[in-house]
Amino acid sequence: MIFSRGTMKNKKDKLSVLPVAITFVALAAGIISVGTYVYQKQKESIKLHQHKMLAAVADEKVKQIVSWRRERLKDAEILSQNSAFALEVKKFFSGDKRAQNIVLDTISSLYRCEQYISIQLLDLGLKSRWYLGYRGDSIGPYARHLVLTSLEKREVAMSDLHEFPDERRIHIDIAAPLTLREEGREEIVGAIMMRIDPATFLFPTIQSWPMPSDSAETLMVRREGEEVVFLNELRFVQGAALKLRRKLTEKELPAAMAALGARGFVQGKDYRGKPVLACIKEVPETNWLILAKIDIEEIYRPINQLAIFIGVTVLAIIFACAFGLSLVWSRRMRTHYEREHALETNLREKEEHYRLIAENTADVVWVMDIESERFFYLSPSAYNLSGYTPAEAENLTLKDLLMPQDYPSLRRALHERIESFVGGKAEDRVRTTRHVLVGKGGKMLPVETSATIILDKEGKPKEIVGVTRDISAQWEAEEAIRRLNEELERRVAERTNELEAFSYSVSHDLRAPLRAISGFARALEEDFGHELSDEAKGMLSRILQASDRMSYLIDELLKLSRLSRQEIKKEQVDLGAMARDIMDELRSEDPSRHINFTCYDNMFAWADRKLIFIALRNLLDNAWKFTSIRKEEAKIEFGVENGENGSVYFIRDNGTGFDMRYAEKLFHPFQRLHGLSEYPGTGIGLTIVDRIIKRHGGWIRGEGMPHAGATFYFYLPHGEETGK
Amino acid sequence: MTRKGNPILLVEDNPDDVDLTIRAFRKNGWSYDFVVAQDGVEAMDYLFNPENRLPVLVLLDLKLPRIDGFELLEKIRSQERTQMLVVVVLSSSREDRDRKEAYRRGANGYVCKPVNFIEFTEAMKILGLYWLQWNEPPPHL
Repeated sequence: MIFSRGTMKNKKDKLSVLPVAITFVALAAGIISVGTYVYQKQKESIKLHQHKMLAAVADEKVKQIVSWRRERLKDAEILSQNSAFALEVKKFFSGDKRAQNIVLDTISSLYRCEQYISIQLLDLGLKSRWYLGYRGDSIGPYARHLVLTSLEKREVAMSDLHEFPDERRIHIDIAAPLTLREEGREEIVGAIMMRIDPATFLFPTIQSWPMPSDSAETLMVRREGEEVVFLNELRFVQGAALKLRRKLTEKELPAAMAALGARGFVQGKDYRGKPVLACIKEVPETNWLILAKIDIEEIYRPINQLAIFIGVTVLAIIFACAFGLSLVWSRRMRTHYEREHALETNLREKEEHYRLIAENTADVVWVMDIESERFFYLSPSAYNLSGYTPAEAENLTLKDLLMPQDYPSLRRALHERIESFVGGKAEDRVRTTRHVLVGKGGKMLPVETSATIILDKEGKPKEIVGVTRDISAQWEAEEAIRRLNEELERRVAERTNELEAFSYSVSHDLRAPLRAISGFARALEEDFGHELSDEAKGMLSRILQASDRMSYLIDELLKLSRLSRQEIKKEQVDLGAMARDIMDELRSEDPSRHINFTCYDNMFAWADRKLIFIALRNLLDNAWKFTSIRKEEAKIEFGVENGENGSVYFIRDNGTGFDMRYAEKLFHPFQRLHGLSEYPGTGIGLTIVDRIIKRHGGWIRGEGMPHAGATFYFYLPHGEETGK
Repeated sequence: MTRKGNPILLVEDNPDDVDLTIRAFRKNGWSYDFVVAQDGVEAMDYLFNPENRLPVLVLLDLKLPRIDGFELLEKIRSQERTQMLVVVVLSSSREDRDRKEAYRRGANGYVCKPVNFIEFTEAMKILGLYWLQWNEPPPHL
């Protein structure tokens, strides 16, 4: 709208949220990335620690298995190499009762160490001659093959884990030949077979974990063709031993990796499909492989929990901060908006005021775009002045409203002014111009327009806000005054010319006859004096005197007329010094007079030196003249009193004075208040003084009392003003 | 003084003034011939006629019929024959304008005729003394 002002100030407030937000986000990002880094580092270290633990566990397991296996072999070896035992067995097989007891005792003691579920004594025909323990009577085909091999090679043999065909029990069998040595020759008398249930020792050994853990376990596998076979019971799958088989093609399975030759640490998904970290070791002297593994989830669980806890805490803090900030921000924004709203309301009210002012004044208020010279706004009174309706006014440009001969010059003047204003001359912002408004249908109206330049935010001239007033009445009055003045001036000029012609003729033509009168009267006296009586001579003398006086009057009249025409040149004049000079002159003309003249110092007036001298001279002449009745105590005083706009001077004497009834007549030409014989003079002196003072824009008046003196006050304005 | 024979030219339209002026000169004992011109035209006729003797002094009134004193003065100063003549203005006017104009056009002197005949006679006496007796005229005479 027209009267609104920009609200630039608020923009700054809005911008300031950005740095805060950026700082906040950067801080949050920093916290998060540092947290992540620490977390990763911690993870690494945990992983390293876990590696060490897994390796230690695997090593321990391998060691235990190897040790256990050797013990078992040792057991068999001892029996196998015991020649005495072999002799007793030979006797037992032959039916010796005593030998039977010895053999049974030995085997029983072995059995009692609880490593074996059964021990059998076999003869060379692989017939079970005696057994101890569970199902000792049947050895099954697998064990039979083992015993045969053992007998053939004459050494202890240990089977792999295998399943007993009918019962689905898993066993490890150890077969040993019983060797009898006599006089340098060896004789195999039979065999002994010891059966081990891995569930009693091996599996628990494998399964046990040195620390509490949710997922850690050790498992033992072996390769069978294109499969890997799990040998022991698993923590999470019941009855897995020798039953659970997986393809070697399952690349992610640590067991398959182990079967394919991987050793050390691997990461993959175990039989449950869970991600695990595993350490693979070989068990020496067997085709077994030990895997110590633990769920990755478990490894990182503590740190993850911690991370989650810290993460949640940090996020909570961040969110709390963000929330706090946003709360503060929203409050700030609210106050800002409230303030803005208040400003806006204020502005709207102001705008309403201005609008009402604009619409209810008789003057036309308008806003014009400088570039297009179109009017954004024209107050309703535009219709009264121009006759254009608001709708018609919309398409008006400046050119339409001015006279064709005025438009270029007014436009140029406007642009010169704009340039000057932009260039720094503040007083050029507003200018009032008078011109003619061309209304609808060419109706012309004298108007006065005050135009103010409005700059945009960049300081470029944008629009003109103006007020245009109908001054036709004023214009007509002024026109009338102007005409009257012209007429007056013409008349004055006429009168002046007449006066000049008159005074010229007075000076030139009036004197000539006077001179003739005087001259011929004198000639008559000279040439015919002897023929004239004394009375006639006296008359001639009267003629001569009268013509002299008339000549004097003419001279004075001319002076007066000259005063009226003379131009005034004002300057600083020291009236006191001037008065003292005049008094000195008067004294030198008549040294017999004694006058007490007092005069103020520093009476400086702004006056025409020549004219004010004539005025002072006349006033002091008068004072001098009229104090002649006093012999000794004649007094003349010249002083000043300060008035409002100038100084009031006075010249006071204690002379003859005058009757205030005639004060009016003092300044009229040829008016005399005293007889000519009493005081000489033309009666024009004060008229001249009055004329001079009035021409200076001042006034003069006299106060007096008969025989008590007179005071003449005259006022001279300061400065340049002059009267007519 | 061997100026005898050359007249005084009095340019004056008022016969009273002519008489009074001549009377004043006679009174003072000068016996110069007076050539009287009633106006500027007559004065020019006399001055620009080579047969006439040039005046020893021109007494010039300003207000004249036909060609006035100023114009005549200008003519006098514009002609080689007459440009160095001694011209004294004799006028009733004491106006600044007249005095200024007279000097501007080359008047040698300006005397305002006193109304009082005694003063007038005195003025003519001094004027005569100065211009006819003590003043050295230009060499053409």
